[in-house]
Amino acid sequence: MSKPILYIVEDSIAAGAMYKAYLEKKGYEVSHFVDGFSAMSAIKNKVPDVIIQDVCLPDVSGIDVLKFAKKIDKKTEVVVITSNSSIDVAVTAMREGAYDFIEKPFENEILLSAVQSALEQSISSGTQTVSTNLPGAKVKSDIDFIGDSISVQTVKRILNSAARSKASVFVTGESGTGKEVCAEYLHDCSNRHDKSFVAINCAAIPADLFESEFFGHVKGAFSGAISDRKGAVEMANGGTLFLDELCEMALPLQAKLLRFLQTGLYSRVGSSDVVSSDVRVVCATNRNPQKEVADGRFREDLYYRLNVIPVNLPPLREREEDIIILAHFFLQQKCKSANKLFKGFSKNTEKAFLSYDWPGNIRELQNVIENCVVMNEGDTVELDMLPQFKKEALKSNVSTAKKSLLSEIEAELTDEIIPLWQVEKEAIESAVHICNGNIPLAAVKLGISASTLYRKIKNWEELA
Amino acid sequence: MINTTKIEQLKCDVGTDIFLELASHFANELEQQLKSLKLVSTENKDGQDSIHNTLHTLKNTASLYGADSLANMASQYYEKDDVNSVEVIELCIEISNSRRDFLKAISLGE
Repeated sequence: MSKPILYIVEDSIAAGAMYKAYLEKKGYEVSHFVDGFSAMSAIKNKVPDVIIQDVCLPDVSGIDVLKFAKKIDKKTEVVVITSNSSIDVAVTAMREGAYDFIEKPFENEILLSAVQSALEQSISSGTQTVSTNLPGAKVKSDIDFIGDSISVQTVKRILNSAARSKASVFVTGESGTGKEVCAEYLHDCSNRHDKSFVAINCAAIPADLFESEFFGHVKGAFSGAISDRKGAVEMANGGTLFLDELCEMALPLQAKLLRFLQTGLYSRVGSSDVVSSDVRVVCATNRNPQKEVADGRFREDLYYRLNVIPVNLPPLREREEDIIILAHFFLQQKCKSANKLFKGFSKNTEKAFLSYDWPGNIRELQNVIENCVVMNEGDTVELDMLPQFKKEALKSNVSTAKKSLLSEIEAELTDEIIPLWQVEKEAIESAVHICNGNIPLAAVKLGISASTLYRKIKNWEELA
Repeated sequence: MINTTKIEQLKCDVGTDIFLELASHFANELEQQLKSLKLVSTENKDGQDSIHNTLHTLKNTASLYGADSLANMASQYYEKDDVNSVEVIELCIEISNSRRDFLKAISLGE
């Protein structure tokens, strides 16, 4: 007998994951969606037995998801979860056909009880879970995110959820962490995969040409426009438009992009005809977009428009457990393309990989392995096949040796420091000796009064 | 202050291994919320909306994971029409402390 299917629609990953884990342990098949569009897309794909629905979502209202679910199959039961401050919304939800509502925060047992009642109602009203896969939708992308770390698993979960919707995805992460891979994965997993995936690097296109690259132009629109040309927006129609290094886009162009995102309409440069295009936008930056907004370099309204589903890719140094897994993956891949026979890494190589910071992230790891495979032969990658790592190790050793030597010298010098009173005493004794015992003269030469000099001499005699 | 009874209950509900994985989601979520709050402006509507949304999520999630004092503060500020910059700073400190205490509590309980 198949397990009852539950969908949880909850924008907090931590809360949704908790509900999911608990209900899975109780024997349900549970999917968690962090936004309304993903949930609606999944509902269209496969109607669940029960939906546990948060009201406040980042893209649409939970009430809209409820209406959508009821429209697809009115026998699907919906349990609305809401906070006490939005009870009136919950009442609206009940009017729209929700089975029950529970007030946050709640104990897991209350959630279970609500789900059980809703399920009984669902069964008695004869709901059947029928899979109606979206035509042509791929089950899984050929591109995959490799890694066992929690952060990568979380990213995959968000992407799988986001792939079912049209919601904009904002990918952040250091250079080389796989932002474009992320965008391609989303495209491949979505029902847009048979249309174009168009990538634009916003930093690489001169500001003067950007509008033309983006929206296209007609013949004669400017000098050099010798024929009509399609822009990225038109080429990506029905598919996905990936805007890399988005924060590099000039402010006037940001305004034009915002207008296009709001309306789906645009005009080619040099033409007054208004054209529409249906694109799913995935954008990426290695900067902190919130800081760019705060510093006035990025439009706040555009940021909120694009940041429907934020995805943060962790740097490689923060996912240490994935370094060797990735290294093995790239080794196999590069050996296949270069026809080499490497099977693995020596212990020293693995140790060096794990102790390195990888400032260039996965791209750097990939390049290191490609270089090694192309330039060497054998079945095991040894440390001496990786000159840059030998240098790093050497630098590290030299640096350690230098530090050690410096501390020794510093320790020795510390012992040689002479107390101030002793320096003073020696200076005075020397002055008195040069002045043939003439204390007043020595005092004048030392720049102090004779009485001070007599007092100091007396003190030293007493101490002696 | 972390409600350790709540943490033990969650461990029973989902199992210790899964709980630790979920705990990392919660800690990451707090970190993201902290980063977001540090940059938000209290002077405009978008900023206030952003704070309001964060508080909405926090008051439930913090309570769910036993971060009671943070949940209380979030609930209290959520009821206000506008949150001022001093309150945002207080909230940031509370998020930071709760995250630290929560990680400490789960590591002690392992």
